[in-house]
Amino acid sequence: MTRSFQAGLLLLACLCSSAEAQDAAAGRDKAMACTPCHGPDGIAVAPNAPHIAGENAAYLTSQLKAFRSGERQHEQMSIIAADLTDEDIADLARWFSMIEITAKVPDLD
Amino acid sequence: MYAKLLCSVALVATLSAPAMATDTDYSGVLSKIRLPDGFKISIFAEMPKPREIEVGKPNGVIYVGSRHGHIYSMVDNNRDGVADEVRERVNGLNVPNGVAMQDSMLYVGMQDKIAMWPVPAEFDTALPLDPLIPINENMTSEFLHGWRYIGFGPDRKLYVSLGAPCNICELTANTGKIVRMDPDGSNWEVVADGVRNSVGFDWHPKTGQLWFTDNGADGMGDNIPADELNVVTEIGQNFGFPYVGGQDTKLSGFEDKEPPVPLTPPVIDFGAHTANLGIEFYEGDMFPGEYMNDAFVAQHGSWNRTVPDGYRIMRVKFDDDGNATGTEVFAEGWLDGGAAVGRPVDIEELPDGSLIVSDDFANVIYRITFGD
Repeated sequence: MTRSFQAGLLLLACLCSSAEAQDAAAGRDKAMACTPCHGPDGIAVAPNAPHIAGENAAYLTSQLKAFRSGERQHEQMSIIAADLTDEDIADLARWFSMIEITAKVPDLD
Repeated sequence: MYAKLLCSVALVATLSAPAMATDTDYSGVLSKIRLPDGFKISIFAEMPKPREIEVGKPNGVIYVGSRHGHIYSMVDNNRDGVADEVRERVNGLNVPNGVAMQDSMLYVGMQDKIAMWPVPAEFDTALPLDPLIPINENMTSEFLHGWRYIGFGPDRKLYVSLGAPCNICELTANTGKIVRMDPDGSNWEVVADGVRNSVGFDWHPKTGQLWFTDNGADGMGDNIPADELNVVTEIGQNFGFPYVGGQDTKLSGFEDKEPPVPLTPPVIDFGAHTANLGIEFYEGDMFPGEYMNDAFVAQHGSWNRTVPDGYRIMRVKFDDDGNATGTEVFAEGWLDGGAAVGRPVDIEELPDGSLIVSDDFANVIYRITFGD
């Protein structure tokens, strides 16, 4: 692959997904409220919060909606989800799902 | 698919173990912290998720609890202001947030119990904290507000904070209180009742009175109820929870309920949700004289406020009679453009008069000094 072709591809890629990038940026900004517990990168800093980096967007969406409706209860999440709009939830779910993580299974041998 | 892949490259977050290397660059955090003229802040040690700090007497070993199961110790043998030995001493405990020491005995406050570790005569900082001998298991073991803050008072008794395991709820016999007991765990006694979640207390150096921070309820908006600084003037006083927060904010669901006993309001109202945790009265000779017997309070910072608040260290001024006369910001900057770069938890004074501060977000212990 030539360098100019690579650059062209990169430009095309970013043009194609600029809307997605915007949503993700909105999610990143809204995620400030999540960082004290779930960490700035979605890797939790509070011991009672799960890591949400790389989590499936559909799962994040369904859980945030469950907290909002009261179907799922948690002392902190119920309060924080109460005021989220559907758009907020979509942005947040997209942002956290886009964070790439790696996992290393312990070598037991 | 390829398009997505390329653009997501910029969003990759690194997953890494807690930084233990001494060459990690913290200038990004340190350069943001603003202090009064003449004060400096530096990194004393790095460790994962540090919470309550206890400066051990007499051998100078400093113990640090966590909410993640481990306790670390650190020592600055060559007195250069940087810990030259940082060790994990135990792991796998049940939320060992609290650490305190008296008479060569280290006490650990866990979610479900208090235990002690007799420091061996042949002391070695590599020794694991084992065995830990339980002295009291009379606790409600709930994670929420179950991170115990503990300390020995001038009366040589062990004080333990028992947070309410809820946002707003009726209290049971052993929740929503600060209690004290003899060093062997006997003679359990309620010192302060109606306390939602205190994660910091200290005794005024002159009056010996117990001052404690208390975190206000959530879910009632950005600006109420106030976080509190209280003083115990009579053993067993009730400080209002779950009826009232701050001076006079009636808490959701309890507006029409009559408190069964008279309530004692806080001395100081801090900003709602600023999460005031550790408090330390200053007794050293490094800082200017005006700081003597004043208190420093660590504001961990809000998690659910529309505009984040806290993330700093407050100074509470006291007069010669031990009355609090006002507050001012001492150190700030851990909130950078709305994003947290650190969260102060607990503050302790070192023998040289400098302060050390734990931060469970940046995973460091800071040291604050005055002068050259």
